[in-house]
Amino acid sequence: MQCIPRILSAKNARIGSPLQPSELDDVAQDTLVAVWKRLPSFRGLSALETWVYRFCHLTLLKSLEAHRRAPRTEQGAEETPWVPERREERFAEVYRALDRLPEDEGELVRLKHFEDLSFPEIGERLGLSPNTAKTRYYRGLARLRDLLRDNPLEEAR
Amino acid sequence: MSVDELPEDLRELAGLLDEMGAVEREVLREACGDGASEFRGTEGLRGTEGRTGERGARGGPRPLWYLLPLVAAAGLLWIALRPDPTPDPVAGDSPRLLSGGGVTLLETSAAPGEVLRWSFPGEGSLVFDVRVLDPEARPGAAPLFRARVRTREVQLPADRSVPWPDPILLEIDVLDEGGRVLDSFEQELSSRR
Repeated sequence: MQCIPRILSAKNARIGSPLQPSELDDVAQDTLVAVWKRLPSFRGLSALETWVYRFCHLTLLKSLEAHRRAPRTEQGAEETPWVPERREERFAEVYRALDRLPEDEGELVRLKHFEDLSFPEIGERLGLSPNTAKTRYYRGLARLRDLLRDNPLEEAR
Repeated sequence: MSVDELPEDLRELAGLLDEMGAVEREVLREACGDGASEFRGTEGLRGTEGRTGERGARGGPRPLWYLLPLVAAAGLLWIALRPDPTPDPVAGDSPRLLSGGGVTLLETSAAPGEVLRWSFPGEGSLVFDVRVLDPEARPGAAPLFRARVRTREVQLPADRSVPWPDPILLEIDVLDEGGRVLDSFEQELSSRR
């Protein structure tokens, strides 16, 4: 779990460091809570850091939204609050939709795109033939599209 | 069906996922280095679970307790092996504070609600920053209170070649902002559990 603060720090730095270190500590704790609650669902099929990453992304985005809305009365506070990029929000929508896919389909999509594995590699990891892996991947991708089309921001609020 | 044969909206989605994956891998590489994927794969994890041969979706859900010894062991290992820039003074019989760092997860039933402890590198002591959340509260709600807890002093061998105590007993007071003790308990931190 040592990766959580490092991931958050790296992500924060990439978007211009809108959060201070103390605020990042809070985000890290919130992330840890989220990870802790979902730990039973971790199946070891992907790298632990990869699995944890989406929690970091979602928690960081939620904190940045709160950060943006918070009244800024402290002296020295930044003048222009950070506004989440559309891209970051879109990523968050997809992460949430991925969580709503059937487990095997979600795993396939993650392995394909986030771990950059080929279908034979995915098949080997999951004990499936490459063709079965490919079929399930396409099915998962279509379902993901439907989820995003039907209810893009419902889960985000 | 190849990606090129996919309907346009699926191709767009696949492109977005590729973009997410690229960002994710880049951040992970930046944050965790090339060792970020040490846990990748199922073989090692499954092997200790006695399920060698059962892979992937056939393996079933992984129980919560499975990762606890890994996390505890990693924390202890880091404490034991971390480079120390300044030699430790020989303590003799006087107790020394347990110096620690990294991240360690512990769980307890200390009220109210769920408690998570997370260790930060401390100045001569293992310090846990504690956040107690109301389990009924909505996600993102403010914690009921925050507190800091400290381990008691732990006698450690001056010679680092001698194995450190295992388990380590943590005697923890949970304090509120005013320093009032809300709860006290002992917690063993063991690499063997």
